[in-house]
Amino acid sequence: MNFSWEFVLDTIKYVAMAIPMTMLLTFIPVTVGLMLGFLLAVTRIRKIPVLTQIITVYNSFFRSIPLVVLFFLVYYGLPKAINYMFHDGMRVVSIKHLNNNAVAIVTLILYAAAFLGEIVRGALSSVDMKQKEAATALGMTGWQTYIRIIIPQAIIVALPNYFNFVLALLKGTSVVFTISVVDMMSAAKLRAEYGYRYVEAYVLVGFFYIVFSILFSRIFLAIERNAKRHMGQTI
Amino acid sequence: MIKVEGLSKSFNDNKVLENVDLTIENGEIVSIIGPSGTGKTTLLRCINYLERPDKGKVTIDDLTVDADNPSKKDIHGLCLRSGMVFQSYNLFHNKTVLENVMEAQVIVKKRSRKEARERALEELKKVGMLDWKDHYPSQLSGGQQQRVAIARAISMDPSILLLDEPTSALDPELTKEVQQTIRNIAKDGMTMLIVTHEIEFARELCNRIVFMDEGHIVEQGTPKEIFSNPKEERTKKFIQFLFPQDYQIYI
Ligand SMILES: Nc1ncnc2c1ncn2[C@@H]1O[C@H](COP(=O)(O)OP(=O)(O)OP(=O)(O)O)[C@@H](O)[C@H]1O
Ligand SMILES: [Mg+2]
Repeated sequence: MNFSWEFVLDTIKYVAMAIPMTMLLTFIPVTVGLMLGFLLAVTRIRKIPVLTQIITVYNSFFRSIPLVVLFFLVYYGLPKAINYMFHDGMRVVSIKHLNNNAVAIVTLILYAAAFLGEIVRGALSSVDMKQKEAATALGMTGWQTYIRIIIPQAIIVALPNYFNFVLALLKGTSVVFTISVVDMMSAAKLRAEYGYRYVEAYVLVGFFYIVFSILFSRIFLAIERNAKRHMGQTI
Repeated sequence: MIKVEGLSKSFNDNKVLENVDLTIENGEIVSIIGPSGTGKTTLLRCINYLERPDKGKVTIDDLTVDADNPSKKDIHGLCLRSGMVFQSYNLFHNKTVLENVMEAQVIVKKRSRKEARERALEELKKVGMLDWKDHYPSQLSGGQQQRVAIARAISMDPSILLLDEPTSALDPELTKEVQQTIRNIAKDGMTMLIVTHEIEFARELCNRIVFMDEGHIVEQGTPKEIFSNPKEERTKKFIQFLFPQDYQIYI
């Protein structure tokens, strides 16, 4: 078998240069998506009419559609939608006019918000709300109770699911090659096609994903342990 | 002094409290007894507006709140003037014992952390939980949690302590230790309103027993009056139900 280690070594720097993009595509959506998801969760918990129904549909859409389908839809559909809305359907805007990186990040934010909203909702509703009555009876306001008592407990409940999602998204971002964003996967793919060395390129990029996954799951586990200790629990 | 006047509360069509009047003087220890579902808990929860009454007035010390137009400030005022101890303890799970007792002192009373800490330690000592100050609620027995809950309420200097069946979730051994804690608090002169099914405990602790049935206060008096010489038919029935056959022995 001719497996070119030389090619692998040569490709490392291209993939490494794309690391920041993969990290941005992962960590911006899980951060902004968390805030958005929190708003979605609170809206659903409070059962605000109309909005709650819209969010239910929103959630099931983003939670059901495969990421790769979502990105193809964005790639082909978004320019069309913009043209229909602002240019009477004339082909004024194409995907080339859009900032692909920004499109990818926004898409992933919307995608993450749906998942994280459900995680937040589950975590919030798992907190024993009798504590809220006790806090009220002690003279604490609703805000003080949420910030100091309810949310910290919800965070501890949500952490494992949240981190699972982060790890899943880290790998999920690899489909952004569909809209020509250069992340680790895209970089490897470009090099593979350039040098006709597919196996080498994908072994290498697979190795990168594995290393990052293991690294982050170690870090996350340590954070979870530490958080649980703050409720007198051990894992 | 606390005063409840003409208090009424319904849940949907279910009239739970009807025109209840009750006055408790400073230093008095009053127990509410009565059959299940007669509104004892609801009465307690209406006093600090955890449940909003439909009608009537609640007065604690200098503050009178009318159910017709209670402001947020009024309701907050009632909470500041009263302390509540729940059947299920309701400690903050993410805080240690010490933090549980300090929390509202710092956040609500704006005491310095140092001052709050000293006060918390003092109250924890009183309820016998000083050695457990750095534990989390999940690491404590029910009786221990309830003692911490009592310390937490007392540390806010309430004018009255409202206790809703503080021992009903506990087994006999733990019930005793919590009852002993309540006795100690009583010795310090705390005004208390206790809902309880522990008749023996109520009899020896309280100045006054209030018998409630179906949303009304049927009869009230000293333990002796209520237990050995009830006037109302319904009270008699209830006492007989509590002490079948030879109930006189207990008195
Ligand atoms: N939040 C609520 N919503 C609807 N009904 C309620 C609510 N809280 C209490 N009730 C009803 O009000 C009535 C009185 O309840 P409450 O808890 O005050 O009784 P209680 O005297 O404390 O009984 P127990 O001795 O069993 O604790 C019951 O019929 C109960 O079903
Ligand atoms: Mg009750």
